[in-house]
Amino acid sequence: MRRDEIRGSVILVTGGSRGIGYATAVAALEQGAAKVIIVARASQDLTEAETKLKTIAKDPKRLDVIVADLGNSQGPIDVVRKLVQDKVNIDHLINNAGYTKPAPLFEAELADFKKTMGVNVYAPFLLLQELLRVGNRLKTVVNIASTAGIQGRSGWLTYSASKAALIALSESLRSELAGEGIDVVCLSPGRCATDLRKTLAPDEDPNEIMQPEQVAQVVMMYLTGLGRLIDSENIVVRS
Amino acid sequence: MYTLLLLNGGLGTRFGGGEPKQLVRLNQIPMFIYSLRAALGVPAINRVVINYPSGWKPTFKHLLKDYGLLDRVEMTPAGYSRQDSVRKMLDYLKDDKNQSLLIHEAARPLIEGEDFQKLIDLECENAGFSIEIPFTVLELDADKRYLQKILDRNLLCNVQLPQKFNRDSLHGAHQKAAREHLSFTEDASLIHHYGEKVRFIDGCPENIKVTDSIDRRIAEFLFDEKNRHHHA
Repeated sequence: MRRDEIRGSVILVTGGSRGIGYATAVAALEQGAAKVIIVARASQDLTEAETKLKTIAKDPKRLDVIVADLGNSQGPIDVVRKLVQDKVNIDHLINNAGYTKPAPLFEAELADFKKTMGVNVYAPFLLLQELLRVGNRLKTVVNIASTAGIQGRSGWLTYSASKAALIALSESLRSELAGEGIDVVCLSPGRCATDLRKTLAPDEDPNEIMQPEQVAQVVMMYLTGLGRLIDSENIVVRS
Repeated sequence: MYTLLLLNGGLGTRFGGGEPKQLVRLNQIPMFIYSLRAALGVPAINRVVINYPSGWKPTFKHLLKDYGLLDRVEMTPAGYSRQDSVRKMLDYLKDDKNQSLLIHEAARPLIEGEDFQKLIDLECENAGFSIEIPFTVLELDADKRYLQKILDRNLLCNVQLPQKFNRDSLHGAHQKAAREHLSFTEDASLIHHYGEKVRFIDGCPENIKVTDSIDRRIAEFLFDEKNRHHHA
């Protein structure tokens, strides 16, 4: 197995203040990552996440927080600039940050569609491009897509379109980066108890569905040698 | 440590399209990028110089920037011929701290870091790769094209790049050749003419030279195969 295990590696998680991103940061720290960097917009959630993650990390050097808005194209560039400044090399990039504002065709606003594409598609693209251009030696990219990108549903058109784009982007990247020794993983969680899911399905009982911690364990598995055996296509994670 | 000269100055237009062949894309990535990536992955290579055909500097510079390689690669203008290009690059490197250099050509994009390493690991100062000639080779008279001589292909070889040289020996040989107006198609022949020893080791048949559209299809197939292998 060529790929390193999680222990000793540096992992960047976007959207790390809540949901699957936060659970992934927790799992990475618990499994011995040398450093976990979470990227998120400034919010009460982020402050609380930082406090809890610091406790789990024990050593303050194991946790970094970068405040950035990935919804505009300067956000990812600023994130990479900060990493270069701090001389940090990312081993595993987890593109998890997601945005949705569900609306049926007749009500959907182009500005919201653009913001959805910005966070869900352009940000993963820009982060990866910029990281590689500055010479960061990456081992894995994990793109968190969604089953919504495989099958659309009424009212979810902007979110579904963005996740379908992320799945297709991952397929192309996998082929383009194979020769570089960078593994591209694309995971499509089904319904999972996150804030984003509450926006999509407000009436659902979050205790009845898949939990973010479960998806985080799947992400961790993909960063190990075992994950290499099953990362050749988009994988659905669903309870 | 080693300096790599990447020959990238040719203006071969056999692909059509009016662009230098190094800009031809293999699986959408410009051909010359592959060799640079392979070389920059070798720890013993700490300096890389690439030349560019006249008028194409902005294009190559832009691509080097896009691929994050601009600050790791130096650019020099090409000469009027391959030999003149190498001599110009050697002039450019006259104060280089590295006594040893490697010469490769962008038209052989399937090269891997370990191929450079094989040359580096050899004790002799001047060395290169060769592969067997699998077909019959005959000598004809240049004029009427009558058969003159049957050549024993077991004594001949197909010369591949990269090659490794002692920089001062190669530079001296190039200066003599320029004064004597002698031309050679590659540097092992040139340095041998001036009395230096050059050793050849077995090359790899996959390190093909991409010069036309059939080669390009073969190269893309070989890259796909390599990628599948990476993923196997």
